[in-house]
Amino acid sequence: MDPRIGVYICHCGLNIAQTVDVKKVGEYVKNLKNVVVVRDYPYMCSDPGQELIKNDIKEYSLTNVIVAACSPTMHEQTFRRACSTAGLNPYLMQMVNIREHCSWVTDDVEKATEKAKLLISAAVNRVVYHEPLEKLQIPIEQSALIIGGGIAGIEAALKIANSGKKVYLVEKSPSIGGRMAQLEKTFPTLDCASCILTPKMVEVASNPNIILLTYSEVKEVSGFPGNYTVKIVKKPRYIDENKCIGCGICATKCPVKVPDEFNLGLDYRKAVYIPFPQAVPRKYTIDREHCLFFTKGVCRVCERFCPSKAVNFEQQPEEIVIKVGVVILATGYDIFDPSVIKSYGYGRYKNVYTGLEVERILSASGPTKGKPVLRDGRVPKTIAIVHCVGSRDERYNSYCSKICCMYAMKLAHLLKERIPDSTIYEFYIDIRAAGKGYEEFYRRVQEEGVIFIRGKVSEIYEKEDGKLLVTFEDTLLGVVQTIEVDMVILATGIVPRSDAKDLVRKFGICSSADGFFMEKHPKLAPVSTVNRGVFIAGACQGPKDIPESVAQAAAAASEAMVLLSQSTLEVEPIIAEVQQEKCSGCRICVSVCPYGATIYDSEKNATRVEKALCQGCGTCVAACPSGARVMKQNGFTDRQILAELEGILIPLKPRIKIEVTSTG
Amino acid sequence: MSEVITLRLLEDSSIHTAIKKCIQCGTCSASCPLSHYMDYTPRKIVNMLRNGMYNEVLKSKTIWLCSTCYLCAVRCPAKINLGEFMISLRRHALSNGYNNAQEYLKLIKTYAEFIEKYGRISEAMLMINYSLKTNPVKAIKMIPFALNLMKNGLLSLRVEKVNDFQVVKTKT
Amino acid sequence: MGMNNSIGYYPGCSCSKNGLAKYYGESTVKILEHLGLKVSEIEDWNCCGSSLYRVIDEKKAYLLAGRNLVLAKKKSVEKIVVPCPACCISLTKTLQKIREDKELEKKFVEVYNTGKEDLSRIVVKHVVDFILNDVGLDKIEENVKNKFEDLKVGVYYGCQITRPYASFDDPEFPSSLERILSTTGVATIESAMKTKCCGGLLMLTNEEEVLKIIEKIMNSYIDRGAQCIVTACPLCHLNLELAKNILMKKYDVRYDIPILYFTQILGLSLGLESRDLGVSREDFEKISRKIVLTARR
Repeated sequence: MDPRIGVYICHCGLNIAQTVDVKKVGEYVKNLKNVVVVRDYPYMCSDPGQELIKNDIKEYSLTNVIVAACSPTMHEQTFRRACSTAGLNPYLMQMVNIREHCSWVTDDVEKATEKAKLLISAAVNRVVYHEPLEKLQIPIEQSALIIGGGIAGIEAALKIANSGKKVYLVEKSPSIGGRMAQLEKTFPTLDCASCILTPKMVEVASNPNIILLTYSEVKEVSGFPGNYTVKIVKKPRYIDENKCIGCGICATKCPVKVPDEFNLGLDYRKAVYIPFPQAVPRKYTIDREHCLFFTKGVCRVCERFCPSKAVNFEQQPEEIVIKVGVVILATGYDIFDPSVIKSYGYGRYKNVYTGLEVERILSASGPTKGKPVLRDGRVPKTIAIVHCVGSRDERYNSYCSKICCMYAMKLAHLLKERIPDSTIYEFYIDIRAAGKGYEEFYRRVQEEGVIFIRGKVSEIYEKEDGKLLVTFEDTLLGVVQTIEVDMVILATGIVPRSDAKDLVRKFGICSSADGFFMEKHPKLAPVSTVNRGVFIAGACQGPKDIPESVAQAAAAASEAMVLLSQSTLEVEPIIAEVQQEKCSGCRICVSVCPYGATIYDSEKNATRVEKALCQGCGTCVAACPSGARVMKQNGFTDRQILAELEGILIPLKPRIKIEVTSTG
Repeated sequence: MSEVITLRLLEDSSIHTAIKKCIQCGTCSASCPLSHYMDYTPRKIVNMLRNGMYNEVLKSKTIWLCSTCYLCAVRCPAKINLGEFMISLRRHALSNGYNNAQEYLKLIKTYAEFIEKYGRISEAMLMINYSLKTNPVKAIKMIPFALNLMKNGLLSLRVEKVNDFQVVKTKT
Repeated sequence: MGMNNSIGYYPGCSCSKNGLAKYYGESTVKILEHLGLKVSEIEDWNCCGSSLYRVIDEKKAYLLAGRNLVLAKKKSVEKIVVPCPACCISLTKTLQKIREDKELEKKFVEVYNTGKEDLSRIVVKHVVDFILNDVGLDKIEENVKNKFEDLKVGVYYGCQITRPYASFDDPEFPSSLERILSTTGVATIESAMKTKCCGGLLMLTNEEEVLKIIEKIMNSYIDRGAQCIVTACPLCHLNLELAKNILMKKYDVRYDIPILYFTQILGLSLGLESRDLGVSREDFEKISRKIVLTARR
């Protein structure tokens, strides 16, 4: 039977029709070989549009369908489904992108129309060589891996675990809690951060579906969506987690003081420690870098006093290999290092702080037990808060860090509350207070007497007595002024984690220009990534406050559960195939495959393609010295590609001299 | 102000960039060692241009008070080189006959004469010529300093002439 | 160093033999020669145009500055050492502009028969950058003969040496000069004003305002016990000298401290004669008590 092709040209409203003359294209296509029906329609993807195709398949007994519309990443699935319902194998359909490739890239109607004709002509030539293909079904591992134990990771873990699936929650520090655990109160409601966070942390610890791996990091990832194998390294705590009862006698007895990371170096912890009182798990950790036994071979006081004999200096890093179906990255953010802005003197001037440092100072479990005092013990009476430090600044980060305006105002409120006779200035460029109750909070803080000055601080100068001179232009007055303050707080922005690139590589996802993880679609797939089985939640995707992070975590959990709720995962059949009997066993394909999908079988002295692993990139097929005789890329066979080329080149023949010889 | 002048002004790349990119944060003004003596802060100058106040800008003292120390330029969060911006504004003021910065214009004129004649300048001669043109009394006050220079062998009144210096006659 | 032939020297008007900073130029050349680096002055160089000529005619200003680059290129010079920060900016800016501005490049080809490809290999370096990063501290330390004992030196960079194009040091808090001077044994005095502008050419047009600024700058060093101030810029030096004379009349001898070029201190330390370095007898007397002879290792 001769091929019978139906061609469907979409207007995409005006997106295509404005620049591509669809009627002319239709006239041209009508006369091409094997084309039996041509239609154009304002929205091919709409129900009536799809109905057209379905009816024609039956009425004209179509053997192939061509849809000339948008990018296949948008609607290939839509049209495949339409064909499928009408009884046509979906892989006998081909999409031609006349929007992104024609109408959107030029205003020249003639040229865009011409190109659309050629691309469709190429597809007409190609589809006759299409073969019916079937999707593969691959079983899904019924568990999730969540990386990062901050509020986003915790939320996602609880959601998935509560749906009855197994969750591995990996956190690199000794306790979960993340940045939120470091905060005093949360804007705009002023809930105590620990009070609302710790119940969730405890829930994580007690949920039987959650396997909590703290002080652990992901070392290697292999596999594919639905079936990942992940190697995790659990760093030695030198304390047996099963024996430690969290009594803290070890820390009381430990003679070594170390700057406390959780309190940002504002005070000291011991060499054996828990990061903060509400830590989960409440298991102590020996800091190898500072412990006297590890540095000098002496002491062992903790070991002597531990009532449960939990100290074990012999502990080794432990490698754990797990299998999971989906992954959620919730790795959070780093704080911008303001010491690079030399004119602000952070790191040189003792009374210049970051916002997060002040959170710790104001926290009841912080270095001053919540008393708002400076490093020298004085209570600051005049305080300058500088917005946009490291954000909205093309020298460092162009983006707005989004949370700083709000946390800066929250800090102003808390300081004003605790030091009622203080004068507090907020130096801002624009106040970003978009969110439920945020603008109201801004009004409230202003009414409380905090002084808002529109102007960025240009420099800070430390006087001999430790007071700080802050110079700025009040841009609403157009006057340059210098004021003396006791304390400066830099509302530092947030930046991607220093190891973000490493995770991008390990999990085969992308990052955007600013370094944060990239979502699959900024509007419609905000927690998905280019890797079908990997989702992202929280500030690792971009600056975000707590409510947004929690919402994203729930979204990522639900996306993950959509996958986990299926027993198998459909995989595209557009993959490589080997004719084993003709394979010479040279293994070049094995060396070039980026996914480890080409596997050499020594018994047969031939390669085979592991269907679940193959991503259809075609590298092996191109590398095979025997070419099409042995290897074939379904959906992109040599014959199909060459026919496609001919379809473009032959109509141009009068203008271009070409020789095409088909080999495949 | 004529449209042609306005257009030329706005097409000047350093002016154009500032108008396009400035976020009006005032870092430049607050970094400027001379902003206290200016009639408008540098940030305001950019905003005035945005609002079409070309005449006021070219008449301002501000544009002549910039010492091109570039502190604003290295601190600007929009990476605007405001030093270059000020030089450009001076050029437009000069070429359009705004002569409210007499002293500076005389300095430029003296300077240009040297360049055109010799290809090099002599600072000593430049200072003397300039002082005589602007403030002869001050020129006399400078005598002790000049004597001191002379004592240290620094007061050369010679200028070496550059050979082959056709560039200065080039039409641009 | 194997690249001696390709190092050009551009004195600029101030540091040339008829300029007010001729001793800066001379001491620069002397110490480089002493350290075994032959630099050859770009023959028939002309004024860089500074920021002034750009006010008159922008394109011609680039052609003016560019003429020096073309002359350097003809002698196959790849690195130009410049003592004056303003000249450095003019030359660097011109190189940058030729790269970006096609029309200007066309003009260069028309006037000099030289395009951006020809000039692209030229690097313009301030002498501080050159001494620290090309000559290197090791080389200097090997050659130091005299160490200053407890001479308190205020290190004043001025503005343009690290701004806006230079990348060899922090634009606001540089440390190159301190590192170079550390080899001479002096105690350097830190000041928050060290890269604040001296007022530059505005000294001529707006003396009153500029004097206030320089007074602040000098105070910041003298308050901290500086016994002399070193600069690396001819204009900073001149302005500080001018201001010093006025301030001494207005106040007292507090401002009577030597204003030197860093190359003069370095030269003395390398054992060069004060006469050859252009250090005046008065100034030499004020600092020479602090010099001790270091026995060669």
